[in-house]
Amino acid sequence: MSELHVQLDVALSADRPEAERHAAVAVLADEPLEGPGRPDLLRAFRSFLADAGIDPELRARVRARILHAEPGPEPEYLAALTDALAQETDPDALELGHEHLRRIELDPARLAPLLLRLWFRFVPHFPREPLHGWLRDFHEWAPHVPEVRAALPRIAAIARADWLLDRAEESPDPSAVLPGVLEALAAREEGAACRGLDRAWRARALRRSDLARLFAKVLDCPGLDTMRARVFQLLEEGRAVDGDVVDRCLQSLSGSPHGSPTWEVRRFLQRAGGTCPDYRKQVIGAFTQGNHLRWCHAHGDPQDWPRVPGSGNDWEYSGWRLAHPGWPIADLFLDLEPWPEIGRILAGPIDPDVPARRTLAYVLLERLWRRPGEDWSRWCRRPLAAVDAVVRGLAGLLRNAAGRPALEPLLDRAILMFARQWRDYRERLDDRPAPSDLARAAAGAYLELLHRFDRFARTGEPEPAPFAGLDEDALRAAWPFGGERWSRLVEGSAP
Amino acid sequence: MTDEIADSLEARLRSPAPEEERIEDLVRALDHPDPVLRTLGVQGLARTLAAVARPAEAARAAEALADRDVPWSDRLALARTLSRLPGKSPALVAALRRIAESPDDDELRAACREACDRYAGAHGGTAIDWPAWLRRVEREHDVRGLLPAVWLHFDEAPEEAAAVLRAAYLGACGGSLYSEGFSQDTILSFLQVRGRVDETVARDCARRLLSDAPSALLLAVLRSVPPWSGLAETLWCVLETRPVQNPVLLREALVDACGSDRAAAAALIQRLRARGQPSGAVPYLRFLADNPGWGETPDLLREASRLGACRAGEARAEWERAWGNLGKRPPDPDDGAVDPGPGFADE
Repeated sequence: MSELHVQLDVALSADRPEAERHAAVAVLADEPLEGPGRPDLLRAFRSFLADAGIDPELRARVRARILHAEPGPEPEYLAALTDALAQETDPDALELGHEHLRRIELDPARLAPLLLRLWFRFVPHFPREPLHGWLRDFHEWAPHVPEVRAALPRIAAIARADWLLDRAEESPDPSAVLPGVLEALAAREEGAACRGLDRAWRARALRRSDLARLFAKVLDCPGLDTMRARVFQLLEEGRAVDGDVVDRCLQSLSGSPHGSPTWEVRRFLQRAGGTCPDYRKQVIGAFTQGNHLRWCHAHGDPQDWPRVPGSGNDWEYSGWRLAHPGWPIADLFLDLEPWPEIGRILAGPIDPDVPARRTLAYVLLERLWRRPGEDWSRWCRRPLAAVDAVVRGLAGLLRNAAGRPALEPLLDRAILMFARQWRDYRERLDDRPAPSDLARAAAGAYLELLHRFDRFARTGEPEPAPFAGLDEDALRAAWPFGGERWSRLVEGSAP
Repeated sequence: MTDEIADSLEARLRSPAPEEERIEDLVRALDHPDPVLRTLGVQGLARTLAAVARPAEAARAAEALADRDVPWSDRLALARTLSRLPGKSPALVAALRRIAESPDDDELRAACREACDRYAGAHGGTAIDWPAWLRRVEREHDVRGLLPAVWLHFDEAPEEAAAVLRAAYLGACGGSLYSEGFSQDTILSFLQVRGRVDETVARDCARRLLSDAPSALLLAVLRSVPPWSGLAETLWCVLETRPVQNPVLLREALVDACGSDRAAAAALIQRLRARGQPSGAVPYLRFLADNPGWGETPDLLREASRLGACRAGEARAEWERAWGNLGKRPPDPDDGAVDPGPGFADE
């Protein structure tokens, strides 16, 4: 019997005194794992590792010997290495042992249980290698190894690697979706949050109320553009745009020109707002003088124009002086084409305390001026009732603003818009005469227009022709320019 | 506990059997008077708690993080495991929070703090320890982990959240904000939108107007709070000394600060009068040239002319530009000017 086998015999005999066995194990722990005795030694080492009677320090030496041994193809080596790794606590030793393990065992089904166990054991050292690299292995093995597939959700949560979940077998727990998304957002992992939301949506694990809560949280939150866009998309796809969502969007648009992603919110409402039954009512309700003044007050980029009209053409095209352009509620309002409301606002009383350029009427006039350019064909298809409402509103506005110097900027634009809208109105009337009150208003507007063009007389520009269908008697009664001009303009242009 | 029982617990703790099968012994070891056994318990729990959800054991283990007889590295390993556990129980979070708010500044606290912040971000409401966050911002000038959670959960505790944000804005958190990809202006803008700018923040904005570039945001913030007595003076200084991005916004802020257009115009005249030399009037004339839509501008230009503030040089050029912007030919600048003639300086 060789010396090695003598020592093995002593070390493996449970009936020997402990000190004697320990001494034998200590000798064996220094033996090189090579030569013909290697299988016997490896078998003995396994039993030492499992022996509670052996001192832990000695067991650690045995583990080190196994881990530092040259890997071999024999089954004893794989078994010993597996046992040693299962007891290992040192991440450096784990790295070395894993390296050896991967050289001799490639079957995922046999490797996976050990690696799973080791991964959880070494969580305090995550994400150092090889633990991080194993995530990719687990992801790859999940379809074929049920044990890995079952463990993936927990691994993904611990490793904060949500990409693993596409191969997990469980669908997300609905009650955990919102906290999970919020946790990722709060941890600045917006991509993971979006993926979590998408996963829940696909698995029908996202609750409508949770989406609404998430929407309220991300609506004005700085720096979450991707998540906000995704939430908008899901609200739209899920037809979950209700009155509260619309209300919050409108509040955001009204009060936060600095912080709010105005463009996104406006586009969202334009796309999806219509699915909310009260959308029209809410938008019309938000188009108020008070909301506009609040917006002007918060607006950070008011404008003033040094350019003063030098010609009639200039007056027409460059005379707009809206100090706070871009109020998004006005766009939404006009999108609805609420012609009766537009008419009522234009003809309604004008608050003397509101500067002319901040009145709702001025905002409307400016939008109506720009509107045809945005969708010309739609603009041309407006029904007679729509144009009638606007022209009546403008007539009322001309009446209300006349003789009030403070409202001159508003009157100025109202005259221009009346001239434009009158043309459309006449076209829609075909050959029918305009109602007498509107024909009289047209006469008044034409006179005001002439007064304004008189400023540009020196430019040699042609004077505007009388509006077709205006009340000629009313015009004659108020004509202040003398007979020669009457003959030239009114009689000369008569059909 | 007798020595015999202790020996048997130690033997079980040192046993080569898988630790997962003796987790009760590991937890029991945490209560043992011998720090060596407590250490074995901490080490074992750090390696076993991740595999399976054990909320009660995890909460008990978290209490051991404060045990200074256990080596720091072992407690850190346990903290790392606990901080990564999914579905933390409130008891576990409470125990982690005690470490997270301890005065020691080390990795152990950072691991616990991250876990608590993630939990607070996920659940909001009572899961957020607002006073602790405020203390962290005020004393440590550290916003890591707080943004965007404060914004996400703002509506649940607006007062407390606004206090944290104001502290982050006013405190020396610039570096921390920068490393998180935010700026003071991000916070300021959010506070303004939510109507939570207070006078302290507004006064800081006024200070920044004179030291930094006077941005539109700073002026808009000033307009969002009731004006205080010295605000108008600050804005006049801005007008005189700083290049302003948007003179119209400055005018609106001045009108707000003075109370009305008329009061702002009167104050402007007073200041023009005090300038004496035309060169001193240049910023005011430039301001008027950039505000042709202001109803007071024509009268102020006439008054400036009467005061002789636009006789020559750049002042005259600005004065002429202002009239041009109004679409009018400038009158003779000396029209109506009162030339005081020779005499004493003090009479």
